[in-house]
Amino acid sequence: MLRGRNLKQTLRDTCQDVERRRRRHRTYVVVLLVLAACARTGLDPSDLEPFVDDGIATGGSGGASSLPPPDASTAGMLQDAAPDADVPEDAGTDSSVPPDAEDPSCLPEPEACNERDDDCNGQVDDLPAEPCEGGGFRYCVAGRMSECPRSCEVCVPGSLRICQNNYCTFWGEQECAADGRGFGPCRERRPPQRCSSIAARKHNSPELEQCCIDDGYCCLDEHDLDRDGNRRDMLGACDGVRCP
Amino acid sequence: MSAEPLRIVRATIAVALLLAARAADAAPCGQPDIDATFPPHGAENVPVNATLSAHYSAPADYDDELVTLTGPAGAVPVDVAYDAAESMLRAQPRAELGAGLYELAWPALRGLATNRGRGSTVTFSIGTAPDVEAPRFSGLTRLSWDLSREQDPCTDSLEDRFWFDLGLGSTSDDAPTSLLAVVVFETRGGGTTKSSPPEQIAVVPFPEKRVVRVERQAIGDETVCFAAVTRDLANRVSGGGDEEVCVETTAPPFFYGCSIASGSNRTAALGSVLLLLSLLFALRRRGFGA
Repeated sequence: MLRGRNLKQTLRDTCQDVERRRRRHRTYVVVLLVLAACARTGLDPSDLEPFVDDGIATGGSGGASSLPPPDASTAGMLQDAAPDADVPEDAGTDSSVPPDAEDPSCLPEPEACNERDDDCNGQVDDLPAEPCEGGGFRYCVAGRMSECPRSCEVCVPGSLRICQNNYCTFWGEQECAADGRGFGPCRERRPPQRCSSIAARKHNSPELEQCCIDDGYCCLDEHDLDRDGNRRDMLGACDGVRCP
Repeated sequence: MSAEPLRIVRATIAVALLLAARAADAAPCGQPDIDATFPPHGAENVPVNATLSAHYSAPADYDDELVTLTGPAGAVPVDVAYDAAESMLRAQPRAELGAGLYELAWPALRGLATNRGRGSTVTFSIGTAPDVEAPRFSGLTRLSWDLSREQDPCTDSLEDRFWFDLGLGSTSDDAPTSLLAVVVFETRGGGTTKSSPPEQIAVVPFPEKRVVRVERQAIGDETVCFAAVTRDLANRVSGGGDEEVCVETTAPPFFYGCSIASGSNRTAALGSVLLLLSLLFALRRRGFGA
């Protein structure tokens, strides 16, 4: 009888122990989830320490529901961008109270292009754009001033340059793509009269490239006639081909 | 005339008509069409001190073409200047605009090596307040990319390009945020290194869905980074350019064969996990590792 009661007691203790462990594990999982959620939303996990402690003390998981819901506008935001997640949507409407003005650790200095909020207004590198001589502006981006913009990347869309190939005529044309990001394939054409004898004799050669330049074309510098080490640039009358 | 030659003539005419129709449908080669206006068509509460501008999709040759702004009280005089570097035509009203509905006709411009593109006429309403504050912007938040291979109307061949979808963070301004422009930069990749100046690659209206798509040359096997700032109609600039998003690109061709579902969506991820679990279960049942 006594043995039976002991067995019952042992079983009850074991069950309670298992239940306690399960609760503790559940608490750990909740804490981990809360920390992960904080990392995603940009909240500082240390701000939630009291809550987390409570959660562990009571062994419950209901505390998670008291967390503020993640802000949809900042979901997926990089952690580095977190300080701005606290800025309300209409923050720009009230210039009298900069968001970081009350932060005692921030000593306002003139804003510089250095990936820091020097003037403590909650915005990093918010510098005015600098006008460029040829049009457009330079901006402070990634801690340095940007290049002045160019109207196209590689070439003027629809423009033509002369290329050489190793087939029948050794002369071809390449057209610039519609987005100006590169040239299309070298399509074979008949060389102009002045260069046809050179093409026939010397084939794909520096001499043919020189003839192309002398004849007033914009020519692919396949033979590096300008000796700049670049065999993908252009020589000759390329004003309407190169990006202005 | 017998039936056979007549049929051949008819077939030839049909083929010629079909080819002509296809040529007419084909996208024009690099013509400078207007692809964005600031403010956009239908905009409301445009600030009274706004600089009006139109972006052309390719370098254009501005030859004093007329820009016409008509307001509630008739024609409004504007000073016009073409910014060749940004392919942007700007019209600055000589005085602050009064409230009301305006119509602005942007001209069609000739391309540097192509025909005249398409102009555009937009309407918008001017509010009562000026734009005095710079916008605020938290920067780019995420990035996805893939390869596109499309027929180019100029080269008449397939051209490889990488497209990048850039997620935009939160923004605010004293004027409606729909009037902002997003200026996008490549901070790394192509010819840009960590220490060289970032390259401006796009100026687009701030999109409602907060995603901007940019295209770059499909170079591949390199780290590509982007950053962006916003610009308002008074040409004031936000911060946020310090937030870079980066990705490692891979040179084409790609191999999609090992994925049970294409793309990087949740279904594909869930499918992969389920597949892995079922494989593990099968191995365990067979007694592997026991």
